[in-house]
Amino acid sequence: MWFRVEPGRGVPIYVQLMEQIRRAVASGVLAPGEQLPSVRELALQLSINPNTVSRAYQELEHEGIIYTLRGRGTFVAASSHTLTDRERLRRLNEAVEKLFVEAYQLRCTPAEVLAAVKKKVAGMGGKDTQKEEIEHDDE
Amino acid sequence: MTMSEPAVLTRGLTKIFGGQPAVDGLDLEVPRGSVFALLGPNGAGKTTTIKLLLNLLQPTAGEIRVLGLDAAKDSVAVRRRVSYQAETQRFYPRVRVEELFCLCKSLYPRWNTERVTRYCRIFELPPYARVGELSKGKLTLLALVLAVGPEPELLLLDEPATGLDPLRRRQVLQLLVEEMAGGDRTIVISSHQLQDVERIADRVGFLLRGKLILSRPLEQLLGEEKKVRVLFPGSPPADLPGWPGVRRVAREGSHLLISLSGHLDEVLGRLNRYEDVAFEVLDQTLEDIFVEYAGGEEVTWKGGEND
Repeated sequence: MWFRVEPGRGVPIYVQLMEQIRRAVASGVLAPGEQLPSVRELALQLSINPNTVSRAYQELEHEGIIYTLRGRGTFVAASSHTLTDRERLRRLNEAVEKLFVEAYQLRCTPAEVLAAVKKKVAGMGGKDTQKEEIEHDDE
Repeated sequence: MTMSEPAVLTRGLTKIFGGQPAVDGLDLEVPRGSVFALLGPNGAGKTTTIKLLLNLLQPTAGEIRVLGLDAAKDSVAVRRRVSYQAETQRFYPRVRVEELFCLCKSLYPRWNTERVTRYCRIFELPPYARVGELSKGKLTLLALVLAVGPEPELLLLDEPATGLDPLRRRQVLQLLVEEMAGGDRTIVISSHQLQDVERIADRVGFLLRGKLILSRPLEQLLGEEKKVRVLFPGSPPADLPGWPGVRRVAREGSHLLISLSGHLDEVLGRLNRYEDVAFEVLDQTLEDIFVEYAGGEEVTWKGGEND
């Protein structure tokens, strides 16, 4: 797995790393059970502070996306259902806010924005069942 | 007792050169095992501060403790545990690289020959070359290898990558990451390479005219220093410059640009109370923040006028 961080983006590096690992897990580039590089390896590979890698791993572990076995390493978790609904919606809103700003600056009409969102969401089919499972789990 | 003390602790540290304070009442604290980046424009007092820590300069006033020791009284003990890479190198030009290493090995009980040899190979430092024949970049790298060789508890680096090409700069970063990993080594680094600093620093301190105007964990700094570009449909609230966290409000055409230091959620909450207000939050890089803090005054909107 090839990661890349960009200093000078205004986003803390641990956040950039978290974004990439989350995306890799969501898209299946990183499969459940797959081992992630050690903190030291990744720090050297990216030339970043080992504390930064630790921080990203800790937060992802807290989110249930990865898990650590003492002395064995860090692995991709089987499922990542641990976020609360509230947190999920907060992040979704954050993303929608970004979309809104972009659409506003592109002078898109509401219909154009909705059409684009619908088209993208239509491909999500499989995730719907997952969503229902989450709701079921919470009860 | 000394183990629990920070790697560097200064109180009211002041150095006056020719009537002018080069370092002015500095309260600096560097936690052990951290990487502390000392930033600031040229002449802000970074090099003077580092030299004071090493007792290469004596303070006009104030207290300095390094690794729990008094920098002046215990200067010999401090020098045994601290390494320093100066901004400019002075070596005897006729001495050979390998002879320097032999000398250092005899001086420092913990000299790590294996590591030094490996770094020399990476940096392509020719062991039999005379120091006077080395290029400026190679001299910088040699000084860095000499600084990490004794496995110091505290590493003071003054502009360690100045004048290096991107490959060498990356190799220097990798060396520093390696030195950081697995140990409680503390690094204080002064640098203008802010993207490199973003990669490795735990904490940054901004020096301006000899004063430490800011010292915060890097992630906190990037998380708190934001700009908000806002368009009020009517006239903006007159008390805007006094809102929590607002450092400055500048005019940008029809918009206002608010520089924030923390309190983002509260400010956004307040903005949301205005009908039809449009705003966007802008992230800032370390460089943006540097320029913001070090830079001169811009045209500032003080509130009140409505043109």
